[in-house]
Amino acid sequence: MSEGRGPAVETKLETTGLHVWFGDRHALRGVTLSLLAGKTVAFIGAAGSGKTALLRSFNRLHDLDPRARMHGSVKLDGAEILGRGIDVLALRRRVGMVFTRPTLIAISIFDNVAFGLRAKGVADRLALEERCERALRRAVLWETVSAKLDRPATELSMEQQQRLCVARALALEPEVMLFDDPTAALDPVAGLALEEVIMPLRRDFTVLIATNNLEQAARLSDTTCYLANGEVVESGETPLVFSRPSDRRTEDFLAGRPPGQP
Amino acid sequence: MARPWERLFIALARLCAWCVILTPFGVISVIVIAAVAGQQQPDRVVFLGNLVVELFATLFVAIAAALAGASIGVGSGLLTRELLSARAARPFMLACDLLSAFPAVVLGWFGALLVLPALAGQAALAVFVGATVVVTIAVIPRSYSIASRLLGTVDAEVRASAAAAGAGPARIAAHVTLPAVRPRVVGIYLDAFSRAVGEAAAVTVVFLAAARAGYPVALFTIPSTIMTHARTAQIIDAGIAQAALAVLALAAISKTVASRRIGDVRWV
Amino acid sequence: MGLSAPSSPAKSDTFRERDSLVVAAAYAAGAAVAAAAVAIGVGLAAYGWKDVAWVLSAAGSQSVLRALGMTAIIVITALPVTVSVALFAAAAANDTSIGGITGPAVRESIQWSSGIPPVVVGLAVFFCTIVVRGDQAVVAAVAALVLLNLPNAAARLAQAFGTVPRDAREAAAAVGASPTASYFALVQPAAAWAVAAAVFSLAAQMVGETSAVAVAVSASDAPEPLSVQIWHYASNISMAGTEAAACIVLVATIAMLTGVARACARRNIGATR
Repeated sequence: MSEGRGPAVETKLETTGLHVWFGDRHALRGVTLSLLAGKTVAFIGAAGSGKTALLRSFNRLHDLDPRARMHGSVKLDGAEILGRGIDVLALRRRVGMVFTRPTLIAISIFDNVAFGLRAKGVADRLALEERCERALRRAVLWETVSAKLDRPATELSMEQQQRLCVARALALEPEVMLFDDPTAALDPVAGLALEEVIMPLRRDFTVLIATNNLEQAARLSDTTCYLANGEVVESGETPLVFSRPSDRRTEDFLAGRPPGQP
Repeated sequence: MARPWERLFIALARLCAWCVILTPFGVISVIVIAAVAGQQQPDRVVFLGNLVVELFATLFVAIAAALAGASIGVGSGLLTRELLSARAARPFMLACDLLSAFPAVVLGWFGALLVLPALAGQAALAVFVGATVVVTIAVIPRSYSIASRLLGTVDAEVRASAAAAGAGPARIAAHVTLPAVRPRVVGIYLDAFSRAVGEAAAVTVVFLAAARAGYPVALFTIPSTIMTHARTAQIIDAGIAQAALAVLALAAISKTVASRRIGDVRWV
Repeated sequence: MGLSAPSSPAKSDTFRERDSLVVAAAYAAGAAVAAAAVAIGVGLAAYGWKDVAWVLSAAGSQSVLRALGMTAIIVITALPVTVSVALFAAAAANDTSIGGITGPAVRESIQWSSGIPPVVVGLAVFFCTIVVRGDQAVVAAVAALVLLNLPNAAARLAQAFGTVPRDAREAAAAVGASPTASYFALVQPAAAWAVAAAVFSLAAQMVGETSAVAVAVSASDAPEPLSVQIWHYASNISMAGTEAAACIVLVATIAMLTGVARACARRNIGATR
């Protein structure tokens, strides 16, 4: 995807011949990609095409699944992140992730945002408060929750919970943000509101978003990558992919046609 | 990278995991060594013959109790979860809770004092029926508990769609819920067998009470023989160890198959 | 292919009959359970109620209070050992990042090892006491209870930890929390009530355990725990009243522990909602 962007823009993430298996299921089949720093990339494709599997390769979340196996190469800033001897915890602090459904991992709103910082070893209450406030402000949640940080996070609406998850990831000041279909569990209005939160993040982070919502991909991303059956079918600048797809399969997918039909 | 205390925690967790993995092997090893190297008692030279007969007695009690106990457990689970309202089900649930609070000795006391006299006049068969009754009662709470949890795994939307199609609770239970869990229900019977085949305390009380009351009982089940013999023998008796291995194999195999059949059901 | 008349004689539809059969069988099962519970409960009350105060105050070798004390000593010793080992093992079983290869091995092991009959475990301990010529009844009973309950306890605690949603663990990992940090900050607090429920339910099981303990302490003449003492005299019909009273004490103790376990489990359900 670095084609045509000029040498001034550095590559942030790079995969070469990346394969992922879940037991017998071959989820990714030799994916080779180069993702530029500071850009927003949307991964689109049918369910089971490998979007989530690809995102989880960038922060090694597959390590948590005993059935998952990875093979190939994934580089962050030119350094290999697969294989042994990698500090996976440090990697995950550099590559934040927001999941499809809001995942609350502590009782109170504050503890949720501070969870990653505390796991990193930040113990100073003032530092925690300051960084949590900054993260909540970026997630456009501070005004709503500042007076009730000790209240249970379950009291928030679904959309607010998802923003809380964004804040939790942002609190660690990552370099890359992964969004795994973050609006899928929300109603259209809440989904658009969350997009408003993601939009400004594009300026400061490399954002990768897997989505089933084609309009969302078109609105948010600089480049789009279409996956089918664990393979990258086509990738390029978003307006180009959406207006003049070079592969018939991409065209079929965007038109909502079953593959191969006229 | 992991901090020192984290490494210590992981090391301890793995050590304890090995303890759990090796514990059953330790128990089995002791029994196997005793079966091979233990003393052969002169008066038990016909032990293998006895073992076969006792094995039949054990299987008779265990199979009958497992069939009855698991059926009652599954039926009660169906009644309380599917057919009755929460309020109407409460007395039955309370009865199951009460049964689960009765340890084996209490069931033995019940069998000796109330079941055996009720079966008087049937000679040796009455003793085995009495033993089967108490073992049946012993397996009911666990079968009920597993059945309730299994029935709870059926998707609520499946029930709702059946109800939307006009089915009442009885029809949903008979044609939706029960068929959905049927393959796993076999596991409940196997689990009940695994529990019943090793039951010793309750059965021993019934047999000893029968012997005191003058019933012509010369034969015990294997677990009850082990329980009564250990105290009197005070030696490492190879015959008893061999008998224990037979029960162990039956219980462990049926338990393994049961666990695989039942799958994952929440206990806590 | 159109619809055609069946070549075989038409079978009657048994749809409704099956409904009735299932309902009748379920009610019969419920009635059987209720009858058994009532029969045992009424039997115990009728024979033993008036003797409860007497057996609790009686002295001598058949003292219920002394036996209950022995039960308490054994359970209070065996329970922390079992729970500590099982807690660590459950952490290993629940998260392969902590347990490594032992995780799947523990899960596989507890599937069958919880099926080992108590009498066999007791026999193994009894043989060991003969080999070491020990007559320490407490040690033998504790060993039997620990060995018997370890797989069961590990299974229950692993399930308690399993009540914490996988999503939450992944989210914790995604913000760089180590498996150990996740365990202490996320899994343990979330599963606290479930763990408490498992511990009390385990205690109830240990109090009622008879065959493993009875066989394990066979080499000793020391005072016995309550369940074993009842087992000794339960077959003697002439002592039906006093044994029923002792049974009431034992059942009350177990019911109390089970009740606490259930209360904890209910709080856990409330907490995870």
